[in-house]
Amino acid sequence: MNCLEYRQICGAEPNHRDAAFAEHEAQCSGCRAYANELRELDGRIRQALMIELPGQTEAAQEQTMAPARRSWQPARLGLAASFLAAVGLGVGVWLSAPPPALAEAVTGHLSHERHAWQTTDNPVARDVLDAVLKDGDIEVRQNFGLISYARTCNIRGHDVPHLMIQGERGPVMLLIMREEKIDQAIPLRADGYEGLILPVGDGSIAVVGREGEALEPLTEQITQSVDWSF
Amino acid sequence: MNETESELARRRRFEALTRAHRDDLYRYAFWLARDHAVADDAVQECLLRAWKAFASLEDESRAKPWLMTILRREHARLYERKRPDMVAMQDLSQRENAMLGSQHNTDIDDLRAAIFRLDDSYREPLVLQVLMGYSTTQIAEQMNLQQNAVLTRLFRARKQLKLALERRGLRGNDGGAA
Ligand SMILES: [Zn+2]
Ligand SMILES: [Zn+2]
Repeated sequence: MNCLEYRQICGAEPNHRDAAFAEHEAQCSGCRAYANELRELDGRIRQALMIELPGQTEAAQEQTMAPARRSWQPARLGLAASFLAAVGLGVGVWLSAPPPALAEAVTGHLSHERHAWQTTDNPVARDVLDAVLKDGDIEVRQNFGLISYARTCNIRGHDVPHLMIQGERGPVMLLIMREEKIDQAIPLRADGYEGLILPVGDGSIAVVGREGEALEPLTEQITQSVDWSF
Repeated sequence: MNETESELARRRRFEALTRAHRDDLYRYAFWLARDHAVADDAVQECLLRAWKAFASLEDESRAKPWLMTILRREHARLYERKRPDMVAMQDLSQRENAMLGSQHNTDIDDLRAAIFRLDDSYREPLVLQVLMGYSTTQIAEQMNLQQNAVLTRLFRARKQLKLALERRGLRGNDGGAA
């Protein structure tokens, strides 16, 4: 094996094992240095690929948060726990059960996009928001406040605009469910979150925040700001 | 009654099996999609499919490659469906920022950004090799490629990453310290 052959193998597989490869490495200090550099690079690639899982990100953020926000911790742990439920325990149960009741579908969605639950001053990109609102065939008036996240999600088989706005105690989830008609508001409570589903026209809007979030002013603002054509 | 019990036992077995690979599945999905929302969806779809096909898994020690194959297929399906708006909606740098998260290690962040920008066809075999510990034969199987193609891609992936780091003036692991 010559240096070129060695380096071609080594660049593709720094930990390649065979006799000829090992022999060249033992004899050639240049290639040995080359291999060590690549193995060191691989160690760092591995570190770079080990992105924090969303639950871990939240835990890490929690540690850097101001003490006043420490009271959120149970909520965040709850979220991590429900993530486990969603990807592990929940699957089998969900598969053999009838479609979940509306309240259950909404609280179940709390763990769906954990990265959406970020406290931030950054609004979602305008074109992202526009696309989601257009998909949902709804309009949001300007006085809505900071929308930090927007995505079309699936709730009980319907495409539903999922928005996050920033409340006083952290992010607040909105699910604008034009096809879920309800007669009266449904209160929600789960894992350190609370909220409600409001009847709006022939549909409903779910508003869920951290426990203790002042939802009333928000819900009023929201029901007045969201328009859909019936 | 017995039927319920065996169904429950089966479900427990499935849950234990998938839980062990959950982090790997999520990270693989993330590096395929470079997007947390798509990764979430891909993992959930993968688990649903896997549960439905659980009976077809004969050897449970092969659970990881089995799940990884399902995940890859589900991601391709989702990505196809979402492609038009994803391209229009979220430019890479935006997703890149969302990814960098709360860790601040300049050296690793730079490398992560460089991996983020690698071509899909280079990034995936690298993830499978370095993160999942796949051999080049296993990568060829997972990606439906000839082994030579895998070797070429891995070689080029590392070359590009080295180049990217050198351009940023980082060498070895002493970047910024000296
Ligand atoms: Zn040599
Ligand atoms: Zn959602």
